Amino acid sequence: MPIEIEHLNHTYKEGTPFARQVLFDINLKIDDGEFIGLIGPSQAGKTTLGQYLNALFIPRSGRVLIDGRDTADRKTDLVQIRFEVGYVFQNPEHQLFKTTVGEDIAFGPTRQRCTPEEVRERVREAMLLVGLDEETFYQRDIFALSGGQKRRAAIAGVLACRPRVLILDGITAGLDPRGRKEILDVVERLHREREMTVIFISHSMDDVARLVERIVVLDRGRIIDDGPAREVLARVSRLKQIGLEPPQVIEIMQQLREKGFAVPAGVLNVNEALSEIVKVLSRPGVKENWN
Amino acid sequence: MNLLVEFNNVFFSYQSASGKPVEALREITLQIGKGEFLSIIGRNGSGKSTLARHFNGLLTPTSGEVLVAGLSTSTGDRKQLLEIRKRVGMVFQNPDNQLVSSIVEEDVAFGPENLGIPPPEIRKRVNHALAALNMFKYRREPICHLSEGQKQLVAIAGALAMKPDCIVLDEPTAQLDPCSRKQVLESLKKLNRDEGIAIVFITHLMSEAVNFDRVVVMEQGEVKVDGLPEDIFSRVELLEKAGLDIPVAARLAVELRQRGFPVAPGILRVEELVNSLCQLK
Amino acid sequence: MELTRNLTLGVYLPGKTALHCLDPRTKIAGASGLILLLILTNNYAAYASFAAFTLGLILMAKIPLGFALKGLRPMLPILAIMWVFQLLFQKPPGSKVIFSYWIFSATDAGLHIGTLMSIRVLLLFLVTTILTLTTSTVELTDGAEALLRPLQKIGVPAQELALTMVIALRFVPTLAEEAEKIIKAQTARGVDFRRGNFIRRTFKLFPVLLPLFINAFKRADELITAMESRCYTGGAGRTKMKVLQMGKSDYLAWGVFAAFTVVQVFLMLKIGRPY
Repeated sequence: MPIEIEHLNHTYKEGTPFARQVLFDINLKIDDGEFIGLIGPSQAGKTTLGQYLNALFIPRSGRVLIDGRDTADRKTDLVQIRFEVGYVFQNPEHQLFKTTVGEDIAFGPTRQRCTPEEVRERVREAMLLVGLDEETFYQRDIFALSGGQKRRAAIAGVLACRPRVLILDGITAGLDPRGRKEILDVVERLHREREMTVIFISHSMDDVARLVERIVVLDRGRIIDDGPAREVLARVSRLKQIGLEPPQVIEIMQQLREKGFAVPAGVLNVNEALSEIVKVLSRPGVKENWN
Repeated sequence: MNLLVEFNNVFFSYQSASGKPVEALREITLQIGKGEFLSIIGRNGSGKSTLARHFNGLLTPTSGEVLVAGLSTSTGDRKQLLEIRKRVGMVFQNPDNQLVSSIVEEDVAFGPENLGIPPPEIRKRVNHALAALNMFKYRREPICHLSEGQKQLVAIAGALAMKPDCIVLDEPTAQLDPCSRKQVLESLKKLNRDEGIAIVFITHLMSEAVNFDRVVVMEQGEVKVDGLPEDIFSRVELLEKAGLDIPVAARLAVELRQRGFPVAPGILRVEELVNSLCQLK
Repeated sequence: MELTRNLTLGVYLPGKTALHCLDPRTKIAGASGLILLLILTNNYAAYASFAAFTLGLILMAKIPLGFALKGLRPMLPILAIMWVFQLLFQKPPGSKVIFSYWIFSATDAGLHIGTLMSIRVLLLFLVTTILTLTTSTVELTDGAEALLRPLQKIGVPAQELALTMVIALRFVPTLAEEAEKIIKAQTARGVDFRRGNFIRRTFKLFPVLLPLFINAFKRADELITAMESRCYTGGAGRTKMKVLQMGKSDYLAWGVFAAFTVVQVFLMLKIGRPY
């Protein structure tokens, strides 16, 4: 289910004295099964762009085609599109609106007019996917969940609609390292096992470096870079310029290269970095310099 | 060391929703001196927020005592509590839920207004506080036009306008992007250096904690370690057990040392690691 | 989908015009006076002069006319219903029937009452909008507090009332934003807020209110903690950073207002009701 965006502009509060253009001539094509990181500093327009991808915003200037369907076309079934392109927001407290976990996850499938058996089946499946044990959590009160569990419940609520594309908007913000890892593992599994197209919106380069295959960088409403993750991340200075903090590994490798260390570009994780550094330090002749 | 805040064998427990008592703090003994630059780190649920709320008497110990400039937080005396709160400013995680007024300078004035300070003096303090946080040019902006990071700086300015000896910040950066995060940290460093205000910074990110002079690690309501950052971060196992992340530079340094490479001990930051490696090459 | 886009009431439009710079007490008292006049006014000529005066204020404050009028739009359906009701059911003795069909009939008086009432409501809304567009919420509350202060002697807690208002206004944009997020989250899971008639759409908003309320309580709780931490102990003993002061332009404004009142009263008495 490819998504195409052509010449998209967006103006916030259009037609009022507070009007402010936040997206400028966006062109983007997302293919089936891609795993994309959409990064940029805050107020770069990431969330706005994301919300065009599932017809929460309808273009007034430019076009958005979802599987060939123009979201601005009156005949397009927007509700259907929103079921196909799931959107998980940053704050779970804004998207959990029932009292128990089970009820909340059933919200979407119920609106899709599934039979009660099918709703039950989908809830079970969604809970399994995000790693919320059904027996423990089905009847659990939403308020009794931890931050990380709430986020997983929110993802499950969207998964139960059986989307083919999943947009995750800032879902790791504010979680501690352990909670973050749990969530990221879930996302990775969804992409790998379910072959879902995933668009991961974040300002944490660490999350993105760990997961995605392609990175789109947004700054002040414009796409300033788009390409394979390793290549985009290697352009460290540009990312720093717009106020993003590149992952430390990349920073270290970059600085080492500048100081004449023979380590390759495009190293993204700690273990790779370690073995590369060890390789350099184990070369004959190096040890003799130590004192 | 000139003592500012003292925790003497503090225990704290509360009733959970199901009615059974939960011990949130155990045997906390902690001394914080004037002008310290300290970080308290622990994962969610380790008791660090509960600890923060003991600094200014929002919570009082079940047993043991907390002294601020020699004054106990537990006496229940209103005047004494006000005196304590004047000395210890607090900043919370969500800037949206702690700002009272819709205009920047009006909000910063809220604290001094509560103290009954004469108007010209309030004006002076507000201008000073906003300038110290580089927010002076936003003084007449509506709060809702600011970014989350700027809102948090306003909250810090609000605490600063009380002329405190110490500011306690409870995960002030958890909701911020990296750029605003850095801004908040730099501002705090400046306040500490230029105004001599003690900073107690609560976080779950090691990459932030490395910037402080002293780090206290909490786990399950107890203080596990209390010391210099370079001593703490070399203890990878301990940190991992506490559910925390280790800065990449520190982790690489430890791993390289374990493999017999003579990398300098106590490395925390990228530059330190790079410099140390360059000497080996 | 932007919930707050067409909201004009309660929005402040920063500016430096003469109207912006008046003392808030002048503006609040002036707006209240105008509203009182509106309620008393009873004929088209008076309303026409009132509308001209209002237009003058809008131009003076440099408010884009389209923006000011757009705020009236949500009122129109309700006004239309009210107008029809007045038309059909206002039958004062001595009025002439101008129209009848089946069991319905309308009189000339009903027509006038309905029309005058609609104009009145629209102008009322405009006056209030001008006040809020040119006066920041902080000034509004400061002004209201200053005007209420004399009542403190008879036990009206002016300080607390003002602070309550400050906080309520502070959270309007926050809650509006939050409502928008909740609506979006529900839309993303298959609720279509745009479909259905007015009543059905209103019912669809109820599920939005629940999370909004729950969050509001959480916010209130955190806010109280923050206020306590900042030494808030109630209104007694508080000072204010800003001290209000009336200037020359305020006295001028009072003069203009007095002159306008004379004109209005003259028109009311001279022309009288059209029915």
